[in-house]
Parts: sequence; structure tokens; C-alpha cells
Amino acid sequence: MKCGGFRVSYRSDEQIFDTYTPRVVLVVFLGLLFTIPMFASTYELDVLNRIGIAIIGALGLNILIGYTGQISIGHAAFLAVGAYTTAVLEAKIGLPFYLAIPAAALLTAAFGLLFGLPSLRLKGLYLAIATLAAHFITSYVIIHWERMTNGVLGLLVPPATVPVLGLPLDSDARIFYLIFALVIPATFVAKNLVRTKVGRAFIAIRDRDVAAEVIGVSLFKYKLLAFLISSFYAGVAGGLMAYHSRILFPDAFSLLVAIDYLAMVIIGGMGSILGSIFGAIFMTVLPEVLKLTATSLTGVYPQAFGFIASTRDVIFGLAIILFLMFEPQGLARIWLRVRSYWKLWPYSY
Amino acid sequence: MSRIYVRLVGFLMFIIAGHTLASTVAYAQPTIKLGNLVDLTGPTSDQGKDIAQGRIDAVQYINEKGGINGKKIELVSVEYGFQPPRAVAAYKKFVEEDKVLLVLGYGTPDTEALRPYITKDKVPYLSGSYSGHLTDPKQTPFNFPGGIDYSSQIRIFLNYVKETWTDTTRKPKVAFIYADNAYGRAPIETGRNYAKEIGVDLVDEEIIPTVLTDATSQLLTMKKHEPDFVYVNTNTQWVPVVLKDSYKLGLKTKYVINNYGIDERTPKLAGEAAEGVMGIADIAYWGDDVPGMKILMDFHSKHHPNDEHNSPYMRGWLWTLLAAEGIKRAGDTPTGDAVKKALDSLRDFDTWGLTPAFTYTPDDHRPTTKAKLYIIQGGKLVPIREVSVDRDPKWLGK
Repeated sequence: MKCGGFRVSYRSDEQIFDTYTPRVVLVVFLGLLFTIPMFASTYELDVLNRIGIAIIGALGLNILIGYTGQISIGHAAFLAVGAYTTAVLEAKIGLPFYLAIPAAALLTAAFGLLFGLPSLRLKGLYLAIATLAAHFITSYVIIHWERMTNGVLGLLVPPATVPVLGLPLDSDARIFYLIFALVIPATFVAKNLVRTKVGRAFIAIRDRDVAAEVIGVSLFKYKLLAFLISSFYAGVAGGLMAYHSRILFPDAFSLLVAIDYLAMVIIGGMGSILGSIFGAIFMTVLPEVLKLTATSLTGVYPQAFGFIASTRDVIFGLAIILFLMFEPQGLARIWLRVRSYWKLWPYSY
Repeated sequence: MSRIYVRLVGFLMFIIAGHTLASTVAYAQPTIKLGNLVDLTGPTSDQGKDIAQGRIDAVQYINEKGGINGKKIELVSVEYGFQPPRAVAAYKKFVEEDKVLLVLGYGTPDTEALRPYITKDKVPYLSGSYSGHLTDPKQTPFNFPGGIDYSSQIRIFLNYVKETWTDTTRKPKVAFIYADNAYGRAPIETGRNYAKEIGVDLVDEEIIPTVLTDATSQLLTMKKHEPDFVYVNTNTQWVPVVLKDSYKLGLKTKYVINNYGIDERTPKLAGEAAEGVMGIADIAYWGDDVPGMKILMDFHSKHHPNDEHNSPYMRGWLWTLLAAEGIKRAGDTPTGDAVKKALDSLRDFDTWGLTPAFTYTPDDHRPTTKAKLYIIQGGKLVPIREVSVDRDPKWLGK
């Protein structure tokens, strides 16, 4: 019996999963995932859908921040561009979703490229401030370009319709399939991207940009490429947001959303694909758990509702601080530790 | 990490488990569930705190009196920070997870966004939003605005301007200042059209951010147009910013504030800048001499005597009482449809005198078109007179 990693060919070295077990588990997991809409309630599906959308958005941001080391707090703006483009294409031009989402993603990618330009000259906090400009410009345009976006009154989006069948994806159970049908390739592409030449170039830039330039990595090309890919992901996530919530408000893309996504990447684990997924789950589920706790607590102590509801934000902030203190490498790292513990169980030394 | 972590997690789980158990025990008997959506942390928290308190108190009051048709009411409360996306998520939870009979809604942006859902799900939705867009049952049969709609209020304002104008050499000039959200904008279109119709010159509109820290630039632009009267449509905590900046800049115009922009706190918050400012009141102020006030004050002094309440507290009570009346009239096994019909049957319903009598009909969801006009004099809100407009179907749903 083999014990340890035996990589005797390049092929085996490049495998994501060394053994068959995780592959089988993954396939079973995905199979089970797609049966969820049959028994889950709409509320649970709503949360799951938001998780799916957040995963795509967080993957994009992690490629930019975690892998390439370019800080961006304009992610909400990129989401907004994707969402509003999809909505306008669907509602005003009548483009079907399978054209509207890619078109919106491409436009968002171009938009991201534009706002990635400062990254060629700016680094760290300076770049963060420069991307903030993207946020404010976008939200200004969305609020004031009323003919297109309907401004603060909100833009209604008709449901996505499956071609041939003519089936409208108007419920959480139906849109679930669209969202997760996109989450899987998005994860797959991201996982493989970071193992290619491009991904290695990203990591080289993150670790030391001068050194990367010296060994022949074109900063110009790869920094912009990182912005392009990142905002393409955001465009897809935004497009799904449009079809999921079916009504868009400028408020849905506030600066807090950008911060939420940053938190997803940091809490999940910077430079980790699995981390993006964990981060997206954590940041979507935690507010829901706190909300449910607050609601059930006020069932018992109705008079304390004001106090409990207001402390929710405090607890949320506290949870994030504690996380960063005790596990700065994020949930992905915790997962790794748990797994290696059970791998050796019960003979762990 | 390990030990303190484990203890902390264990402790939290213990608490959560305990409460879950307690809540299951407490609600073992069948209850009527109502969704309760409020903003306690967002830009309208000045209203939300008291509204939430009012609703919670009213529910406790009704339950202490034996509930509705023998059933107790249970409030499912969600705080949403005035963010429409969070309200949509909360609404889905109310309807799908909690299966509430009726939702006590909140702001205009979220209520207007939810219109298609509400109509589809047939959930009566009693909102704190009085947007005129919610008053036409042909479009929004399940939306019940909980007070005189904003469009009627702006018509009241314009009528007042017209009536009090004595200068025959020119028409009166008015301006609108409103918050940059669906609430602020709700009555503006009606205001524009009605001003044209009755011959009042609308000379300027200034849009202010929802969260207002400074209104100087808007007021300077407005000053150039020299309006005689200005209608302000934003929230109580932001109106003093407008009034103070206006006072600082020495504007001579007369201000009229809509129902959510003025209450007992305004004279204190705006100081001398508030003198002579007028406001439209949809509901009684704290301590007013109306039949229901004694019940509210007794409840207040019995359960939480140390806090202060303002008009939003009365609104919290009012909407809960309205919901309770609708459910009571709907019979022993109320459904959304039945409650809607019951609410539609309210004719000159006495709201304990807190507001003018309420009437909802299957063709008109404007509960009333009457309000009270107040003026701030000597740091106090002084009633001027009752004001009203006719129930012209032309303005329904606008």
C-alpha cells in the first residue's frame, strides 16, 4: 500500500486531487447540491442564491487582491455595472439572459480595465483610494442617469427565461440552477487560472513587483489582466444579482458592499480559491444567523428588540475582529487544519 | 486559541439553545404572526425606534386583553437599516419561512420595490410609507398606507399657499426640497402638476442627500429663485439641518414640512431656526388630548416610564391597531385575502382619535385626506387648524 505522495509524472503532479475519494465526494456533493431546490424553503434558497452570487464576486476579488496583490474597494461599482447592464439589456432591449450576462460581464471587464489603469502607477493604499473613485463615479451615474437606471426609484428586471422551454426563472428555486450552473465553471476557471502562467505571474507581482518585472513578467499586461478578470467575474455576479433580486437600487451597491466583499476575501483567506467560497458563505450566513437570533430572542423578550437589533452590527464587527486576531489566514486555513487533524486521527501526535 | 475558544463557543451555543427552547415553549399555542420591518440603524432611525416600540407595545396591549378572536399576536421583527435589498430578503423570510398573515411594513423605497411581490403573494401590507403610489387598489390591492398620503399632503401645502396668498400683483412662488430617495420623490410629480393646475409658480426644486450634513449649496441656489414658500420632504433628523442652514443664510421664505419631517423634537433640534416653521401632522403628538392617548400614556408609565416618545410611537400603535381590526373582522381563520377585504370595509373607523377617521375602500386606499397644520411658536408646536383636500380620483395612485 502506498503511503505519502507519489508523483511520478507531470500529469500526476498537476492534479488538483491526488486520490479518487475527494473527486467522488465532489461529484456527489455537486449532485446533492442540485437537488436542494426540491426540498429547501424559499428563504433558504434565497440565502443560498446570495451565497452563490457572493462566491463568484469573491472569486473575482480574490484573484485581484489575494493573488495579484492589488487592493480594490471599487468592487461594488463593478457589481453595479454588471447588474445594471444586464438589467437594461434585459428590460429595455429584451436580450435573453444567456446574451445579457456575458455582454454585461464584458462591459464590466472593460470598465474594470479602465479603473485598473491607476494600478500601473499606484500601489497599496493609494490604489485603494483610486479605486474608490470608481465607486463614487459609478454610484453618481446610476443615481442620476434616470432614463436608463430609473435612479433611486429602482429598476425592475423581468425574470430570465430559459430558451426553447420558455420557462421563466422567476422563483428562487429556479434561479438557483442558473446561479450554481455559473458558480461551478467560475470556480473551475479560477482554480486553474492561478496554476497557469498567468496565475504565477499574478503571484510574482503580488510578492515583489520589481522582482517580477526583472524576471520578465510584464507588469502592464498582468496588472491590467487581473483587473479585467476580476471585473469580468464581478460583471457575472452583478448580472445574476439583477435576475435574482429582480429589482435594482443604487443602495444595493453601497460602499458597504465593497467592504463586505473585502471581508469575504480576508476572512475566507487571501490567495485561496476555497477561501473565497468559505468567505462568501460566512459573510452571507452570519448576518442571517444574527438576524434569526435577534428575531427569536425578541420572541421571548419583545421589549428588548431595539437593543438586540442594534447590537447585531456590533456582534458582526466583533466576529470579524476576533477572526482576524485568531486566524489571520482565514477560514481556508482552519479548514486545512481540521482536515489534517482528521487525516491522522486517531494517531495524531 | 483552543480552550477559551471552546468555552466561548460552548457558552454561546448554550445561550442560543436556551432561547430557542424558550421561544418554542412560549409559542406552543397557535398565534397570529405579523411581520414587523423597521429601521433602527439607518437614515430613518429617528422614526424607527419609536415605531418599533409602539408596535411592540400595542401587540403586548392586545395580547394582555386576550388577543384577537382568542389568538395571541406574535411579532416577527426584522431590522433592515433602510436598505431595500435587505427589506426584500426580510419580506421573503416573512412570507415563506414565518408565513405571516400581514406585514407591518416601513419605508417608501422598500414598500414600492415590494409591490409586485405583495400583489402576487396576497399579503396585506400596512406600510409606514404613505406614498401616493400605494393608494390605488387597481395597481396595488394589498398595500395599505398607514396615513394621509404624501401626494395629498403636498396638495394641502399648495392649497394653503394659494389660500393665504394676498398679493394680487403676482402668483405665489414655491420650491420643493426633498430627499434623494423614493420617499423624498414620491409626491413631487403630483406637486408639479397640482401647482400648475391651481396657478402656483414652482420656481425651484432642490434634491438633498438622504443623510444630510449640509444643505448650504442647495439653499444658495434656491435663494436666487426667491420662493415665498418651501415644502420640505425628508426626515425629522435631517430637517433641522435645512432649517439651521437657511437661518444662517438669512432666507426669508416660509417652510412647510411634511408629516415625517416634523414632530415634537423639531423645536428642540432646530432652536430659533425653527420659529415660524409649519408642519403637517398626520397623527396626534405625545400628550395631545385625544381619547386613545390615556391608554398609551398609562402603558408607557407602567412598562417603561423612563423613556421619551414622539409621534412615531403613536404611529406604531396606530398601524398595529389597524392590523388587529382587520384581522378581527376577517374572522376565526383569517387569510390574506380575508384581511384585505376586512380592511377594505373600514368606514370612518375611529383610531382612538389618534388620527382623523380612517376609510379604506376597494377603489381607494387613501385612509384619509385630512391632517392638522401646526406652527412652531416660542419653541412649541401650536396647532393652526385642520386642513384637508377632496378625494379626487384623479390623484389616486399618483
